[in-house]
Amino acid sequence: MLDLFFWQTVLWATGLSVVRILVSYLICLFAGIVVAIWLASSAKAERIAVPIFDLVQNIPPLAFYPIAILVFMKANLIEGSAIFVLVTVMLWPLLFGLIGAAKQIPLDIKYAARIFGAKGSKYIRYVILPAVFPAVVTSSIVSWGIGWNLLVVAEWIRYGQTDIRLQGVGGLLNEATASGTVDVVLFTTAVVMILVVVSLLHVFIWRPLLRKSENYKFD
Amino acid sequence: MDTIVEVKNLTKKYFFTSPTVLKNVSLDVVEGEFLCFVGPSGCGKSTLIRLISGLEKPTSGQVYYKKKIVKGINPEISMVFQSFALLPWLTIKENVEFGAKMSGGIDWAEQHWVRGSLFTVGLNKVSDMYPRELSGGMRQRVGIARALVRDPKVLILDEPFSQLDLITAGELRSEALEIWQSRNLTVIMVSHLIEEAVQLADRIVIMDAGEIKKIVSMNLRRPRHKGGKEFLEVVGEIEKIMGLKDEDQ
Repeated sequence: MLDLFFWQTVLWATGLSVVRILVSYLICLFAGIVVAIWLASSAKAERIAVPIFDLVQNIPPLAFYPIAILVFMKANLIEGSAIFVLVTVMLWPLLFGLIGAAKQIPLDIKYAARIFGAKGSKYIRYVILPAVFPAVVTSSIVSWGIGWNLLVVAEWIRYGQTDIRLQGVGGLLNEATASGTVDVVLFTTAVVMILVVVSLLHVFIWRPLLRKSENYKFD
Repeated sequence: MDTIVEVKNLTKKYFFTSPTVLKNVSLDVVEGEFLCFVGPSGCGKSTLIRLISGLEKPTSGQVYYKKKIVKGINPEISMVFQSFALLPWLTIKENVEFGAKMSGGIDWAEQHWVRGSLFTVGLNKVSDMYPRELSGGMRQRVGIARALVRDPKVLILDEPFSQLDLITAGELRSEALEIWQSRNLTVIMVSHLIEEAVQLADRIVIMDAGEIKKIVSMNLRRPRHKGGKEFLEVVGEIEKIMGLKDEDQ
């Protein structure tokens, strides 16, 4: 079992899972930034939108799952359903984190930026985006964590009477228990791979970004 | 000297149901003068300077700059903030350059202005540091340098020394006076310290509850000595007008 083919399968599955979470994360990040900028520039929009977001985020994301599977399978976009599930859970920490950060930009900073000519895209690029950078980092860590948690569900699609297991670490975990008994080696290897990836992300991505984000915090 | 800023019948209310922050305020600011607003918290001083600077719009009335209605931000009016308002992710030099960068890039002439502004406030040697590495006094010097780099005609100071210790605040007051005199600026300042206003201003506008109570012209010669008889008499007069002292004291 622990031959080259096994390791190739495990590594390939791990890589696919990382790509799936990464794609979902980038969609959530883009949406979060756009919405945060929009709400930062309109108090009225914020008053209307934030309660709606609060309501929607309380709906269990898996409630959408059966419909999402139907839509994406009919469109022949099997990966779409996995991405959809991940986006519906990964979005909220980013969205609320960024909205909160944009709201907390000190008023004097906003005034100073305007007095010295920052407006429109320059205001967004030179003031809002740097100001929310610390929140991007902390919310991203939470968002990725949630993504890992939902991987098992996202990579196992039940369409009608058919079970489709997407290649990925979640798929390996599903496969390790599919026969009714636990394939300990496969299960353990899959879990270890997740831990390895999470640790590498922490050391090479999150920790450096957390250090850098200290330069962006207001007193 | 000509009038550079005119405030005519200015009223400001933030929401329909909220109290009126400014009530029919009218005032002329003479070019080249040092004008100071004093008054209790919530009397409308900071709102008034935000309207003069174009940061906010009045509910009614107008602000005129060089006889033209102020409709928004004016590059000839610059501002220094109580909380310094420096961008923490930019170096000192980048903070000072910020205005020039926003107006389309920074050429060699503006680089010269930036260096000059940093030199004026004694920060040329720390230009690559970040605001968090500086003391409060140094940060406010950066705020002043940033405000000066666009060569403004009017400099608005919103309680610029209130977050500094006594000694640093005293040093910066002297520097502010030097800058005002050397650059022939018009300075409009908000202060909550009567002594500070008496030390610096040509005229003091006393405000209360959204209205101008009285405008006092300073007939004291410069440099003004805190603790001097005439100085203390003027401080006492203003305290009486503001109701901080009984008439017979």
